[in-house]
Order: sequence, then structure tokens, then C-alpha cells
Amino acid sequence: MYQSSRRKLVIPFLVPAFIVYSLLMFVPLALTVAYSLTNWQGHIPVRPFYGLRNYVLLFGDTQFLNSIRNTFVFSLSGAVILFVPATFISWALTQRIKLRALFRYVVIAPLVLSPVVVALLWKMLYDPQLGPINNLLRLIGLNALAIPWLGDTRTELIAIVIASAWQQLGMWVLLISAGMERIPKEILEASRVDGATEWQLFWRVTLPLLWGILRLLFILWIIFSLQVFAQVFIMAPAGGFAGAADVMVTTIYERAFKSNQWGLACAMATFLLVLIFALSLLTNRLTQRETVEF
Amino acid sequence: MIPDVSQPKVALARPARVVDGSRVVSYLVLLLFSLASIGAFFWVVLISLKTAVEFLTTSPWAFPAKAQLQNYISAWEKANIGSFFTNSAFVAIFGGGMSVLVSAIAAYVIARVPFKYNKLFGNYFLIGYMIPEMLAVIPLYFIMQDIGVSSGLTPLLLLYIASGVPFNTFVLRGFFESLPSELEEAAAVDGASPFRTFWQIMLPLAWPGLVSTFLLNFLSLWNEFFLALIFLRKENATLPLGLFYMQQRAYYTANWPDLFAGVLICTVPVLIVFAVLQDQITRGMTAGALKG
Repeated sequence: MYQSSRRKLVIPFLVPAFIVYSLLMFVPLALTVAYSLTNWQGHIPVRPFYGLRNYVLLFGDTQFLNSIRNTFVFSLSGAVILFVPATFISWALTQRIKLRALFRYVVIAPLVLSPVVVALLWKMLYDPQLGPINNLLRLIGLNALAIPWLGDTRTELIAIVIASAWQQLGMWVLLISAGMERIPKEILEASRVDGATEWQLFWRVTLPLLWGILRLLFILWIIFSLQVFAQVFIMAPAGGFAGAADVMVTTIYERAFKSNQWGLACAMATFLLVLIFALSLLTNRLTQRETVEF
Repeated sequence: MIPDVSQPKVALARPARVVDGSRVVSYLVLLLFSLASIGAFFWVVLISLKTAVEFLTTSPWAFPAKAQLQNYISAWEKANIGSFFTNSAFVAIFGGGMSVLVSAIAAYVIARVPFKYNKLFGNYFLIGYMIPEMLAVIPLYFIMQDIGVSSGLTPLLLLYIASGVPFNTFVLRGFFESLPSELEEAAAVDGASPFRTFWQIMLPLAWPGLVSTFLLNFLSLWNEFFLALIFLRKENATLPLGLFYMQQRAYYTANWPDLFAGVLICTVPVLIVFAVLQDQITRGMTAGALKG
């Protein structure tokens, strides 16, 4: 009786979330997929069926292909850039040190900043004349390196990656140091007794035990970088020089809201949607195994 | 498993001779990184206190001749940062709060009231957790026009409430599942209605989870840019969008110190919130990452 009277709550409690979520997320996502099959352009709300031709166009579209390539460069270079400082900082934070809370705060705090703030901050830092990075480089005599980082097709994308990595570093440090703290002390002690140096300990014991977490962080970073928009949009307005920094979402935004190629933009969005969905499912499987490993 | 990041860290006992070496390296690594980040922040503060001419003519590290609080006033009033701040506070607090409330009641039913479709609804909401709202934006842009809410903050507010539902229902479901059922049963025996049991017993028990979830919603909405760019105009922007337009203008007016003051107005509140509630926030972040 008690259960059946509680069932009266089911409908009124589910309805609000169901309605907002369905109308403003699920249905529009489904519509994105549906519209990707139409030749919808310009300002007229006519969506003639177009079959899979948008997808054919998409894989012949040099700008989109370039933005896919850039997105992957972003993912891979970012993961490499993040890995070393993240593991060393996490390791340092788990040592017996003073001011740990302060260091931890400084490392993690960028995570709560708006991507807009991060982009504006780094755009200023990179400024060839007024920015402190080039001023510092000139100060220590590295004049050759004091180049316009965001004004050069060769360095533009990587400069944006560094800014984004600086922000996401906190997430890596959070998860890696949590992982390090869960490594049983006995294992480390036993290795020390056997005469292992701290350096050997780090490479041979700590790092292999963190493999699960690193793999997870790598996939989360790829999912993050597939969605990157504000950093590129702000640091490299209009795709930078000759599209050197175009990523998938900036291209989709441009095709939809600037040139009004809605059908094609929906096909690009669907392509990205499938990529992200597949990676998320993979993350789910990995995290489920994680609980068994530890 | 959620790693409990709030736990006091266990210092590793080891022979003194080894400790010294690794401690020195630790300090070096941390100092180097922290000084760079704090330096960048300090630089922003310095510039926000300079005049536009000083910024363009003096070294980036030179102190201003006289600290110009004027920039903050001018950003707040002339550049409209004041009204953007109000807009951001409104969508982040109200949107985040509504999203958590709507999700909490749905999560409660899914987690604790057995009916035929608990699992189905749970999975249905979860789909949205795997796909970012930004990919639904093209149809949404036209849906908002069709239902006549294409101006003001309303479309953004609705989207913010909806986009939080997948994450919130997921995290709160876990919270409600972990609560003991004895209290619920006792309340029913004492004749409390199901609604009252939820409102006066279960919801207060889930309070820590609700707060943590709300904080994460608040932060991500306070910082959100993409949806704001598409659904708001220059005049009624939120802070991140307002700063973006302000930056575009700064290229013509060269009024950089105002922009830096604006950046700090957007940033300092979240840095303070994070300093005070770091544990709740990081716990939510790691939980979200590990369960995603």
C-alpha cells in the first residue's frame, strides 16, 4: 500500500524534467540528424529531401576536412602537453610539502574560469608587443623566439592548445593525484626496502598503476577537444590565417550562422555527434572496469 | 568509485635522506607552475589599474603611477558590465537552481519509487549526458523563434535548465539511491503523505548532494559562451558574451584596461566561490568525470 501510494508521485515528478529535456534537448538533437538529410539553405524554411548528399559534400569539403585535421592535432598535441606537467605536479602534490592547499588551489582554479576569460587572458599574454611572454623572452635574450604566436600559421593552433591545456590541467591533477593516493603504501614501502630510488619508483610502480586513470583522462580530453569553440573563436577570429586554426565546431558555427547552409551544418554536427557518442560509450565502459581494478 | 578528494592526504613515511631530494623537486615543480599562473593573474590586476596610455607606453610589469579604480567604474557603467553581471547572476542562480530542482524530483522517482519504467527514464535522460547541447543548436534556434521566445534572457534560461537535466538527474539518482529507506518507511507508517515524506525527509537528507550539484551548474552557466552567443544580443549579454564584444571594441578604442577590469569582475567571484567551497566542487567534478 505504501509503495502504491508513492506511485502517485511518478507522473508529477517526472513531467517537468521530461518536458524541458525532451523539447529542448532530445527532439532538437533528433532534428539535427533529420535535417542533415535535407537541402536546407538560406532564409526560407523549406527543407527538400536530399538523401545522403550532404555527407558526400562534407567529405569533399576542404575546410571541414582541414578542421577535422586541426581538431585531431589539438587532441593529440594537447594530450602530450598535458601528460608531463600533470603527472609531475600530481606527484609533487602528494609529497610531504608545506603550502600544499595553496599550490593545489592555484593548479586547479583555472578549471572554474570561463573559456572566454582563458582565451582573452592568453590572447593578451601572447601579444607580440605588450604581452609578458614575449617581453620575458626578450629579457632573457631569446629575441628569436619573441614571435607573434597567434599571428603565424605554424604556431597559432599550438598556442591555443597550450592555453586550453593550462585550463584543463586541473582536471588531470585532480584525478591523477586521487589515483596516486589510492596506491597502497605497502607497495611503495616494499620497493623502497628493495633499494628502488624515488625515480625508479615513479616510473616502474606509480605510473603503471595509474594507467587506467591516464587512459580515461586521455579520452575525456579528446571529448573536450572535439567540442572546443570559444578558445579558437576568440583567439583566432574567423578561423585565423587561412583557416590554420579552424576546428569542427567553429566550422559548423560558420556554415550555419554565417553562410546559412543549415542542412550541411546539420550533417557536420551529426558527424561530430556520432564521434562524441562513441567516445562517451567507451568512457563508460572504461570507468566501469575502473571500479573493479581498485 | 568516486575518489574522495576531501580526505586528508596520508603522508608517506620514508627514510629522511630520500625525502629531501624529492621534496626539493616537488617545491621546484610547484613553484615554477604557480608563479607563472599567479604572475599572469597579477599582470591582469596591474593593467586593470593603469590608464590606457600607461598600458600602451610602459613595460607590462611597471606599476601604474596612480591606481585607477576608474577603470572598474567605467567598465561597470559605460561598458554595461554591471547589467551583464546581473544577467549572468540571474541565469546562473535561477537557471541552475531550477535545473537542480526539476532534476531532483525526477531523480527521486527514478531512484526510489519502483514503477515499470525506472530504467527506461534513467537511460533516456542519460543520452543527453553524452552529447553536448551545442549540437542541437540549429533546430533550437528556429524552435525558439517558433514558440515566440527569441528575445531577452528567456530562451537561454530555458536551455540552461534543460541542458543541466542529464548530469543532474544522473548524479542525484546516485545520491537518492544511497539514502537509507527506514526513514521513508517510518514516515509512511506515521501517516505522512508521499509528497511530505519527500519534501521534509528525503530532500533535506540529499542536501549535500543538491548543493554540490547546484555549485557545478552555477559555475558552468556563469562561464557559458556558445549558447549565449547564439541566443542573446549585444545589449542583453551575459558576462562572457559581454567580455567578448568588449574585446572586439577594444581593438578600435584601445581601451584595454577597461577590458581587464571586466575580466576581473567576471573572474574574482568564481575564484572566491572556489576558494571557499573547493572540496564540494572538486568532488562533484571528479564524480562527474568518473561516472560519465
